[in-house]
Amino acid sequence: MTQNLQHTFNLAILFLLLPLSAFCQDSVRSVRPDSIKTFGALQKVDSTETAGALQKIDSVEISTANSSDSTQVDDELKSEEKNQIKKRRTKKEKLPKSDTARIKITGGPQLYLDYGKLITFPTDFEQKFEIGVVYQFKNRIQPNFHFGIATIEPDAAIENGTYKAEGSYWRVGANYLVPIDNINRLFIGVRYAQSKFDDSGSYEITSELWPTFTESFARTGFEANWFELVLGSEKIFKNGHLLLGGETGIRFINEREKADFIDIYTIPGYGLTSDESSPFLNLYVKYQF
Amino acid sequence: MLCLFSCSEEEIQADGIEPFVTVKFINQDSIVALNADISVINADIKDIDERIAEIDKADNRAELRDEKDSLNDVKSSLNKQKTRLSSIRSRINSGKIILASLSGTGGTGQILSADSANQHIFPLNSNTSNVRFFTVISGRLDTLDFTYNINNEFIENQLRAIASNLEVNYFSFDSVKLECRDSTCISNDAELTAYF
Repeated sequence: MTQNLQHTFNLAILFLLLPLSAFCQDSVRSVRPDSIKTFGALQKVDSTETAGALQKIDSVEISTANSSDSTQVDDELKSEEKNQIKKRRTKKEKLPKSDTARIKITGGPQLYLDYGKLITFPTDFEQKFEIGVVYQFKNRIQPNFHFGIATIEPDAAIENGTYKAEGSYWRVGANYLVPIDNINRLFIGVRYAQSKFDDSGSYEITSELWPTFTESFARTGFEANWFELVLGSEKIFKNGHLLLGGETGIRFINEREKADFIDIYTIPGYGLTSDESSPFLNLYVKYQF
Repeated sequence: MLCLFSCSEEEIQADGIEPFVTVKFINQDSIVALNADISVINADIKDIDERIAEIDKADNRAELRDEKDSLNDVKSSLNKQKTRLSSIRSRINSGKIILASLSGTGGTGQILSADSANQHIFPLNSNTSNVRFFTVISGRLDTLDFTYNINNEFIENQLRAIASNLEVNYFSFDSVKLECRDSTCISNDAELTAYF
């Protein structure tokens, strides 16, 4: 069990590091050269245009002082040039803020598909499927609803028999986005989830001398609910509609039914019942309208 | 006890899922015969010791030296014989025998063995509350019946059948002794000694 937990957390850490490293590369490629260019351009503007304009003002002022027959047109020209210089200085002061101001969150509905669970379909011990709808608000809040179905047949549940849990579940919650740039974003979130499921199984006692003893059971109508803490990251593809991401976190069981004799081994959508909390890792793709 | 069941290659294996009773066989007849032989030897040795003591006290012990040497030779031979018989008796007391065949009424199989063992695992039938075993030791066929109550328990992800209130209902051995840990007499803790 400890090894499984360690393995899951290792995967989670690895998963979180990958988008971060992608972000760092993106930052080096795109954001930094822009900033450098902008600063370079500003320095040029500052050093050449401002100096030139100031020289002009000085020369105009000197010539005005020396000339007693200056016209009204000259005064207008002077004031216009001063205004332009002021505008440029104001622009220069605001420019460093432009790097963060450029991060834009596009609002709108999103469709969610957990592609990590699709990998389970070829296996003979579990089949899982989970989809969801998400709405991205521009204020970084991301309410979401997920629905899933699962059939789980863990070998370890009954060593001398078989066990199967199957049912559906839903999760509802909200994420808060922490954009790194226009492409990469981190998020944290909380969710509440419920599952309705059935379980069944059989067991046998084999003997060298006697006929094999076999019994089976089938139970229906179990319910469980739990909370989830989520930490994730996602990346927006160039077309702006496709998002690829992953999330890891921990689920805390709130309520679950207990069965007599052989207890519920696993809950669809939650995981093993042997612990009050269960780590998870989801890989998903989203389409934003 | 678990190590005893799982570590010895000579014994019938049990994984704990199926209920079982540990059985030990003592060839009581052989032990009685061996005890009798050893008693005779002891008596002979005692007679020899007494005669040697008389010789040592006699005035003409120099003339009886040859007799004394001869008696000592006989005594030495008897001691060797006694040691061998005592060893055989110890081995029989330990229950080390070859259980050539174990089968049961309504069973689907038979356990055959050519190796000797101190203890033997008798698996109980998980489908019923009584069982009749047939054993073959040195060509001798014996019968042993048990009655019990079967309960299923789920322990460490294993469905295990536990037999309780174990009792011996019938036996064809000279005598049997069933030892339980407590009054519920749980099958896997019980040990039966059969004397034949």
